[in-house]
Amino acid sequence: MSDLETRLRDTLTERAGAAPDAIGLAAGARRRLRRRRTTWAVVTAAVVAAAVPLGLTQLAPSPDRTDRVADTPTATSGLPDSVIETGYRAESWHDVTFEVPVDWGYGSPMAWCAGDANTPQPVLQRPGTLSPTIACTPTSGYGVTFGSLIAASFNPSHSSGAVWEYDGAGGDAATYPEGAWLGVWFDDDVIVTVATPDRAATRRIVDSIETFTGADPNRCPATLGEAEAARGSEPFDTFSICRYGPDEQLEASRKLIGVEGRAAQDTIFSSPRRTGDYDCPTEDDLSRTALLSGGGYVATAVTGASCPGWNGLFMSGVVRDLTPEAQRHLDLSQRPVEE
Amino acid sequence: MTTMAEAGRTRVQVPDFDSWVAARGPSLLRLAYVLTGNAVDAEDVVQDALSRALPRWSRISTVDDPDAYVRRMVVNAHISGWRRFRRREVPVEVVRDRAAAPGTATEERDRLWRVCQSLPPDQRTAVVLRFYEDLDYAEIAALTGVREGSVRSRVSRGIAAMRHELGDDDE
Repeated sequence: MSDLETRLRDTLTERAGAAPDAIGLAAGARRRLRRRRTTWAVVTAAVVAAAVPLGLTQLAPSPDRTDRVADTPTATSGLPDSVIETGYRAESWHDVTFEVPVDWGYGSPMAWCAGDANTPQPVLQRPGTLSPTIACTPTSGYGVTFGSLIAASFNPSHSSGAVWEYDGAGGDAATYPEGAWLGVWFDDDVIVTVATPDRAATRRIVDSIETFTGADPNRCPATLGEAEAARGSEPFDTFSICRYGPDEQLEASRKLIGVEGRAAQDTIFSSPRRTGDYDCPTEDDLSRTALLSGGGYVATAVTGASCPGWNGLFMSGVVRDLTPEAQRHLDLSQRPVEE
Repeated sequence: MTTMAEAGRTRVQVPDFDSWVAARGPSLLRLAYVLTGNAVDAEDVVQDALSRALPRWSRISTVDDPDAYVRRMVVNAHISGWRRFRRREVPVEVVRDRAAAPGTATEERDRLWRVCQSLPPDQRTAVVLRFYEDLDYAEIAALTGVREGSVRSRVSRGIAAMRHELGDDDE
């Protein structure tokens, strides 16, 4: 080591002593974490307000139609561990979970008329889903939309859990298909809105909405940290795909069982080991997908980063480059790959 | 204060977040201070890293070396900060083009510190990690997300620039 390097080492060590006092660091970290989450929630709420067509004021029937609200449950609430037999699948966002029919796709209900569709097909719209500027009539098709809610800006016309029939009479343009059944559920943070052609179907979905502690029915915890700490407690042939946003809260989840799960794991974990080298700037907005086998954490996948060096499958100290087929299995904005 | 947690099948003692921060916070701040060159940015970098460590503390606390893990987070927070604001000028005192007459050890270190702080952020980070953290080139490469050759180049260019500013070219 040269004389300059020795002097530099001594200087840095000496000057490090001028660092500020470590007072209140832990409390400051907690405040910053809360602030980051609040900021993120506000941004999400703004997106939801712009993208969710239900437009809560439109959800409300005219004052003289309140007698049409159906509030008697017609289906049992509660979530089974497996949705295979029920014909429903679990969907989650943050710590809220509910069930929708397994054949529902993903997208924006406002884009139901895109392509060759003549009749609305129900879809699930997660926060952040882009709503194409398509002027459909009626404006919105069937589906479920959900997102973050800032209670102070929300004046509900219905109580949480209400179901009622849409009445478009008197409006300039139809918002929903004639005869649609609407439902709404909300707590302090999250709002879920439902529109189906059938009262029982809407009631079934609304009644299934609940908050969870621990893990959702797909075995995905509400935060990334919990997922990474999860240990197996289920048979090996369940495979959970849990996507977390930059704020490390659950954005989407899926559980594959049996042959579907094994096929997905085979495809994902057989991705080739990384051989290239990348020089990537830091990206703060990465979403991460935790993979759990039998309920136990196995690996983390990153897709969609601007710099390819951040993408990949990170498993036991080994980085793999995800193949297009593997990425398709991890894509929770599409229905599962059919085997 | 510690809490018991299971890591694999072995029950081990792990520190809770507050206890760990109380013990290791000063060291993190010292690292951040030599990286950033000022107290305000140092606190900002450390709090940013800790706020990201907090929600996953149950896992971080059980890794082999939580200190190294969080120190990496501090470095990443620093790198993230200067990359986000890379167009911003780094305020430093005037650096002489040529060496001044040798003075006291304190004056020497003042000059060395200022010259180090005047380096471009990527070079300064590499130099600090090499000579303050005592990391080897491969470790710095892994930490900063660049090739090992790039790290060597940054350290080399940083030292050369400092030598030039200090008038040590002949060394």
